[in-house]
Amino acid sequence: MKRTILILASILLLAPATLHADRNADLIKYRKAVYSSMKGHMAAISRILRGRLAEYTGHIIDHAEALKQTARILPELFPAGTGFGETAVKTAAKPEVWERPEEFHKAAKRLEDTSADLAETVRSGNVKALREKVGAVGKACQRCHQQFRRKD
Amino acid sequence: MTTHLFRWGLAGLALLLASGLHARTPNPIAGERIFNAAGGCGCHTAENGKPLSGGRPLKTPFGIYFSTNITPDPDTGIGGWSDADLLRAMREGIAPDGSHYFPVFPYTAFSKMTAEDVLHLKDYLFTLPAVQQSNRPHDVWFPFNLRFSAWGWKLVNFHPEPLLADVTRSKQWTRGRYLAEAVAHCGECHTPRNGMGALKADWHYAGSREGPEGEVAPNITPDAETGIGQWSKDDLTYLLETGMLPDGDFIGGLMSEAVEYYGQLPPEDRDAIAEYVLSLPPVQNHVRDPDDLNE
Ligand code: HEC
Ligand code: HEC
Repeated sequence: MKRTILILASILLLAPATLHADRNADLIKYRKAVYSSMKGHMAAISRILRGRLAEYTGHIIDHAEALKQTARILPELFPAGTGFGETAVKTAAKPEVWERPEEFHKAAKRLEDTSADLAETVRSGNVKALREKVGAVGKACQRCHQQFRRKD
Repeated sequence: MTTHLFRWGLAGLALLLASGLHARTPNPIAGERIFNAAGGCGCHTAENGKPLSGGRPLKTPFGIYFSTNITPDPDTGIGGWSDADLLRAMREGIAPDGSHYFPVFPYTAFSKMTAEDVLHLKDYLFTLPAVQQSNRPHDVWFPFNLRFSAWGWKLVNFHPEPLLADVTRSKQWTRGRYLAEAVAHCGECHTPRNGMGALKADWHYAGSREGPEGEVAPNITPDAETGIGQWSKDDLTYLLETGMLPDGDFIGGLMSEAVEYYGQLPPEDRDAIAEYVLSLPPVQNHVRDPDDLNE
């Protein structure tokens, strides 16, 4: 009897914590899906740029706009409790994400700005500058990864 | 740009004066190209450290080595080195004091460099800011901590051979082989090592679970399943230019640092490297634990 009460009590006490961890696990999965979508847009842009697909150059605007919008939500994807070892789901986010939030915001802003610049470049028809502008978006991805994403 | 030229000009003048009778014309511009092909000698720059001042920990199965200061500081760097000193270090693995280097310094690759390129590289390094920072002793287990063990290692494993001309290959391929094998030393990370830490010849570029800093360096032979056999030449060239993988993700780790410099090479050098790497014999070798992938 005493044991049953103890077990019941601990279930009641622990349940909210477990639920919370589950929710955080969901969030990490969502976050990774968001990053995968960015990877898709980057691949699409580079396929247009490098392929014999000149007539699709205008699509780069759509992909760049998508990256710009996504960059804006990146900082919301790292609430407390979603770090490495805090849920059952693996994450490659380094503790620095939570230790240096301003720098993380800056890195996301950089992606937003370079993507906007890329879209603008295509709109203005400056095809010559494309390769360099796409490169700048890529640098924004890489710089953030060097600082905030663990390599595994 | 002008300040760059000015700096080079000054450094060039200084070199000319210093080398006196043995005057050769310094060529830091050619040297910068070699420096970029060598991935900016990134192992010599520590996290948050001053460029090329050393102290970066390089984890190996034998312990931790710390890279050295290669800035032109005369006391703690290579500022006091003669041309002959650098040639001997890079191509024979021998320090100016006569001691032998551990193979963590990839002289096994650099031994294939032309003397001219080594000296141009020196000209370029000598234009960069000098940093005063003493080298940190290595932290490796017995008996690898003993300098003469480096000598013994070389006796068994180091047989420098120049890259022989292959008349059946194009000029581009030959340039690519030179850059990849002698200068960029792709194999130092991408080729697995035997128990003595020597590169396994039959597993050239087939990937290593124990790359520098304990990273996995993937199989980059053109094996369709476990290597980069599905990549086009342009995919590889674009990776070397930008760090982007064909799927839109970006490489990380030491490779991403090297790419910052590969990206500054003339495009024909990246094309040449890609031509060579994709011509290698495919080797089937799984190095990535599927569990470790992010996806
Ligand atoms: C503001 C910082 C930041 C920027 C900018 C950024 N990333 Fe990331 N990225 C991260 C972090 C942190 C992770 C690790 C997420 C995790 O594992 O929870 C990550 C992970 C990823 C992943 C792996 C996702 C998975 O399934 O595990 C991919 C792919 C990726 N990023 C692609 C990109 C691309 C492409 C760009 C540029 C268009 C980009 N990232 C820009 C910080 C950033
Ligand atoms: C300092 C070590 C180092 C050197 C030198 C180096 N690489 Fe890498 N390389 C790596 C690591 C580590 C990775 C894995 C990066 C990652 O997973 O994010 C990598 C990844 C790659 C990839 C991606 C393969 C894949 O399937 O994802 C290619 C291609 C590649 N390197 C080619 C080269 C070539 C060509 C050279 C020489 C010009 C070279 N590397 C030199 C360490 C190195």
